[in-house]
Amino acid sequence: MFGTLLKKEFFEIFRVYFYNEKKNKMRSKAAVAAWFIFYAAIMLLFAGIFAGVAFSMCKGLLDARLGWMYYTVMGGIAVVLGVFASVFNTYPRLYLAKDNNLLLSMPISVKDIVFSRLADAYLLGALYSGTVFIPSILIYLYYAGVSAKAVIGGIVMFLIISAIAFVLSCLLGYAVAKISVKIKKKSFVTVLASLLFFGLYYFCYFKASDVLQDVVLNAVLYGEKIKGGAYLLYMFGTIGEGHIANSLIYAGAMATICYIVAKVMLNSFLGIVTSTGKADRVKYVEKTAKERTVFAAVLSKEFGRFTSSPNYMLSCGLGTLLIPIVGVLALVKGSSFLPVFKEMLSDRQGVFVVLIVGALCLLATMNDIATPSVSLEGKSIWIMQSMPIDPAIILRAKGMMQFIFTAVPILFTTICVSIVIDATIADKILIVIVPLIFTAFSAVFNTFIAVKMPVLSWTNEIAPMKQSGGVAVSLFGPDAILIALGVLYYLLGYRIGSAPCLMFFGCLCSLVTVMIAGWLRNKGAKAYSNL
Amino acid sequence: MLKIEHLTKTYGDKKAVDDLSLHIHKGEIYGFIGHNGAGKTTTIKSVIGIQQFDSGTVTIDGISIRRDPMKCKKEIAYIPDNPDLYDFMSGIKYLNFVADVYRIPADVRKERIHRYAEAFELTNDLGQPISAYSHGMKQKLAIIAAWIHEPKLVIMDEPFVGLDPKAAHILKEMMRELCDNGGAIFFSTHVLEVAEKLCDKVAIINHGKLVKAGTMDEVKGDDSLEEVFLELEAV
Repeated sequence: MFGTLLKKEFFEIFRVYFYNEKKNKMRSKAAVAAWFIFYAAIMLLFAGIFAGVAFSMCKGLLDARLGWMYYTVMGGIAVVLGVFASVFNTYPRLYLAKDNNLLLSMPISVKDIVFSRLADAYLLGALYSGTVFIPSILIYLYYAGVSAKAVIGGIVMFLIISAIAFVLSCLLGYAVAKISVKIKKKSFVTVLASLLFFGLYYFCYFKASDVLQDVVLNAVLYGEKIKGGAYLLYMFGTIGEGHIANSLIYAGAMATICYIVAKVMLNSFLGIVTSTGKADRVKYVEKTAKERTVFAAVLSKEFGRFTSSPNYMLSCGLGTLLIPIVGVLALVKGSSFLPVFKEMLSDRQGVFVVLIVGALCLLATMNDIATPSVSLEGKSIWIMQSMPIDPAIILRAKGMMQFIFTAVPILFTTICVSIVIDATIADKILIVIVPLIFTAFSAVFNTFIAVKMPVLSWTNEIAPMKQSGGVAVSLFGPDAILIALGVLYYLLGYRIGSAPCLMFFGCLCSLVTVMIAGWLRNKGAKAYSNL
Repeated sequence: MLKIEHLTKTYGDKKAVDDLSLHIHKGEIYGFIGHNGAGKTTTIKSVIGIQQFDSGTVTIDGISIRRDPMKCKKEIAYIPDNPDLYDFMSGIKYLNFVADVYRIPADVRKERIHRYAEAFELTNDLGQPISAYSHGMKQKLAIIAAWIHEPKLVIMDEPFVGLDPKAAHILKEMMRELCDNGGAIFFSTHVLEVAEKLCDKVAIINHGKLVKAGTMDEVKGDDSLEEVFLELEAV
């Protein structure tokens, strides 16, 4: 039974690769292969980035006989990425799945249900940890030479890393579930609890990262100190080198922790899933409602959908909270690090401003609220389709949601940056305007993806938010236009200066935005009504 | 009111609806019966404009659903077999959302919501999130939402499923009242006793084809509707 459930879980994650939602039929073998190649290409792209980091570090540390330190650093990065990928999934996948009641009503043991879902969480964490750690192992083997000890050490360390990511994800999922049962304003408290966890996690990570950076720079000096002061980190790193005793100690400890966590999750599952939670009965008081325009009504509905789901807010709207933090950082620390940055690029005229604008545009892509908005209509899409609402208005509201939630923090941050940056007035104005135009582009582009790649049948809302092909495209699509900015500067920027270059890019971006908006008004609206 | 002519819809090789023609006039309650997978839901979805069909025409008050879907949708209301509503809204928010879309003035919607919610004994639950509603309560809410703009034509897919006897009785009264005021009802059902007592006309569909249609007397003669239905199914 566990195998059957596991198969179901995996099919759900990769459903879009096997099933064509639009044509309502299974994909051909060639199409399935193409989708998997696409996915593998994205993962390889990620792996390539981390391989670069590993490559720059490995040889130097091996020469200094500090291979364990190399593994400690790369292992730390792998844990961070693994946790990032799976941490927000555990709660919804385990406790909020729509088929929980169905499965519990069938002769299936709770253990099989819980463990199949946990295996799913483990796999996701392992997949992302692997994009960092597998290239790290290969690079280590390249420099240190291939030996059975090193290969087994690398594999054991990878398993331990994925177990650490799994345990952290489970703990957050469990904590959020326990909180949800006891509180009323579940959505916002869940978001706050998750952010608190994430904040603490990253605070500890960056503190450790600072220490590690210092250690890498003064490797020999600190090598011995770590062995004495942070022995667990040393032990952790030696696993990759094939240290048998340390591997056994870590593997034993992680196996015990995993067992305890799995036991806690298993024993509490039924209680949490069948709990109705604490909710006071809302007394209805009859009153005259304010009339709204159709657009305002639809926008308000989209707002309600967004704020009702902690997963939606965390997966697709985290930028709304994080982007202003960058603005505040720029105000507080900008005057000290921006001039250094500018000095480093002083031989290339204008590139500094172009890079700043590029980075601000990249910030705007943190939010992808519009991308899953069509998919999230799910089985209730009949409401919008059967009412006399122009589908173009529906799509406009979806795009507008993302624009509002991104443009306001982007405006704040760009103003902060333009205050502290040493640039011409024209550049300062463009630093504010171009990212705003890019935000509009990102909103319409994600709405375009929402209509083109919807996933309307899901048992867990996490699927359209984090695991659909559309999300992958909307994550990387806007980057393509940023690459266009880079190319544009490379070809023209040196000659015409940053301001004309940015103006040209802003116009190009506006043109593409208007074109996509036009498509949404006509063909997109038609496609939506035919879903 | 509703004219379906030569409607055909295929899924791959399978003809879900095959050259189906029906006319529903003002003042009529028209029942639509058939076995599971006979093509009832496909017909209904095509009629209300949420599903494309291969050929044929559907007109509501002389307006083609294909050419001017917005105008048609203003005149109709639809209740699906399983009303998946917006779980994140409260009942009253959902009703106000629907009323906003149909541009119902505030005082008018207030009176209608009060009237229908009282009839279905749902008033006290309107402040609750829809996620806390039972299937029957969701069905009642969907009915209120459908009636809120006083449509000329109401199209329903299995409307009595999940309703308690009292709510089913109220719905039947509402259906009759709407037709007495010049509206029309087109609904599918498996409850043949209800169809027999409630409908002015009935159509039986089998494997996508219309096998019999007309007034209740024309269709069943001296037999019961159940006997006629089973007989036609056996052919």
